[in-house]
Amino acid sequence: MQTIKLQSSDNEIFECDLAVAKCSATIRTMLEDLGIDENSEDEVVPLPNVNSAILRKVIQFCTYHKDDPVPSSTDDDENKEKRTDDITSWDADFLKVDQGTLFELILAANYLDIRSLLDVTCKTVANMIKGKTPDEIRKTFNIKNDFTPAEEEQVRKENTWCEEK
Amino acid sequence: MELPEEILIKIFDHLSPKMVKTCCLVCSRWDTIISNSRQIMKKFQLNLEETNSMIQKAKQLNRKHQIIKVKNLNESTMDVISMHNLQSLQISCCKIESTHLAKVLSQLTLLDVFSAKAVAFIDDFGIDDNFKRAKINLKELRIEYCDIDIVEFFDTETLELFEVSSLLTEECDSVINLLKRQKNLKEFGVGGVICENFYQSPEIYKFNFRLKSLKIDKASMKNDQNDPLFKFLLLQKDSLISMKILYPIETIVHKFILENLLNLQHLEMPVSTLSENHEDILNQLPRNRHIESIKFFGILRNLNNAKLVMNLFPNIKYLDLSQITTHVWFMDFLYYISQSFKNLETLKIPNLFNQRLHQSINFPKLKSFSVTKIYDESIYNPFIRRHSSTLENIYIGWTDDNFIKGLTVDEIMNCCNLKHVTISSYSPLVTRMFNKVSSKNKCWILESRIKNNLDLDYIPLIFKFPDDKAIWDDRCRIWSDELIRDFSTIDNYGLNAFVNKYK
Repeated sequence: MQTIKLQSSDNEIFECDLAVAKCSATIRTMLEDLGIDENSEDEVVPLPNVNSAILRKVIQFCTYHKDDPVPSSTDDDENKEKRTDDITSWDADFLKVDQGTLFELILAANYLDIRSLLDVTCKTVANMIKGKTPDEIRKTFNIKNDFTPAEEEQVRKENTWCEEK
Repeated sequence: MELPEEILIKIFDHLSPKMVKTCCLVCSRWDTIISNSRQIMKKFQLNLEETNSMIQKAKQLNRKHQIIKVKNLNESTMDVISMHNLQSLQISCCKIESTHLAKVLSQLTLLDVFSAKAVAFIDDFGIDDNFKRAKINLKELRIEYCDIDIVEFFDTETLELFEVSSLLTEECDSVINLLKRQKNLKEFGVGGVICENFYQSPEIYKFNFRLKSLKIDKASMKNDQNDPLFKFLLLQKDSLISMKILYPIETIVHKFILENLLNLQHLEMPVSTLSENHEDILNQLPRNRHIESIKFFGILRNLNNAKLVMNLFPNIKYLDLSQITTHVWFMDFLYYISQSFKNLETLKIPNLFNQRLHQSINFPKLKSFSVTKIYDESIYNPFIRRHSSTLENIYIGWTDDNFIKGLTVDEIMNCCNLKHVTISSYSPLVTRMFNKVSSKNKCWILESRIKNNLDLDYIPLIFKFPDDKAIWDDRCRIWSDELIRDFSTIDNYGLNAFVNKYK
């Protein structure tokens, strides 16, 4: 089986299946457009935005999902209700990580353009928000409330104008 | 760690409009991101059907709305509209100046959807050399019961959906001219007094688009291959899969549809005139073996004719009778259907009042059962029990604690393949349903519309019960948290029990 070497930001080299690496649209484009020779033994793809801990997780995810069918329709199907309760148990277990790691995985998925990973991580964050009060959300994500009382009142007012469709 | 804006938008997109509003209150960055995002603001609409003082206040809004509903197009509402970068504009019930509309449309370059309902011009509308049509890449246009001249405003070739009806004028040239420019139109509907002229126009069988879905009103045609409507339908026959007939049409049109539209899968039609026909005529009509899904509305004249109408569609799987006026013989009709249409998978019926669902009424493949109202559960329970092994979907349009004593809840729970229940009622009944469903721990969706004791609006609730135990526990807590919030805003009537259970 053909393999490829990926280099993390902290200079660790990972060797993984070409098919696994190609889950990332970014790596796919690099190989195709930038003419990195897939057959060359010592060619290494540098990934300066992903550290080794996160890259290890990403490779683990892609290895598990490499044979998944590619979703046929475009993800921007606006009329379709976006669900968040369809996370498989493997993915849920895989994402039982601390918040910092979860966020880094999102950033890595975004940078590497791995749609399935980006989707499931965003859903996980959405589930962390669901059902909470603004204060609980702030606590969960360690966000400071920077509204003045007047500003907060304006936001509430704007909300009353937002009729749910 | 802060997530970038594009990621936050992806996350917010997974949330309900209600939760998005909560997120606006978290911090100014989140509020700004939401307020300026076209994608997220599509979850909301700005309703300007209010009084003038409200409209003055609406001028101070920061959020960039994508969808605006407006009742009167005047200087102040136009000011508000022009502050937003609209994707959708809906105008209703007003008299406006055509120049106002022209001005508004010329500003809305990103508009996808425009709808006008019961809108008339107060000035004389005329096309002169100065008149410029709005160059908008509209996808959906609905002009219902309006001054038909509104159609003249659009210089657009990108329509996918176009619905037009008029009560005022029989002129349809502007409609036909707009249709002539379309190539991508998939859904079209025409109604009101323009129909007659429309169906007789020799232009209608020269259009470039091929429709998937067609809605027609009063339709008549000559028994002649040169009849324009005849040729129009022939032109569309390969692509048409869904058709809705609003007003009773002549038997000859029925005959044409049954005989020629062979790709049609779904048909909605009034049955009044069809079932008035003499038996012989109904017997002579061709059968359509392709249509799988039928919705009838109106009045079926007598049992024999009702049977003959059904026989026209031998292969149906989906039958919606929920808007049929029932007769004393309705049960005999259902019995006939159960004997002759063994493949039926979906059955929708109106409120049966005191009629019994006879025990010999059986559908071996019934997956989905819907009833508009239940006033006496004993009518339905044996029916649900008989179908407990096949039913996947049950819909109860409205019922009340006085009419369902819990027996029905048990019967529903005993359906081993049930996946989706929808019930509208007062909250104690929904609470009981929730408790039963949650104790089953199956893959379930329970949709409820609750009416509280103050007779406020219905509150729609959706519970989902994935079969993964670990996730299920978490979810229940999340749902109940959301519920507490929903109900804290109005009244906790009847909900304490199950709210406490999952607190």
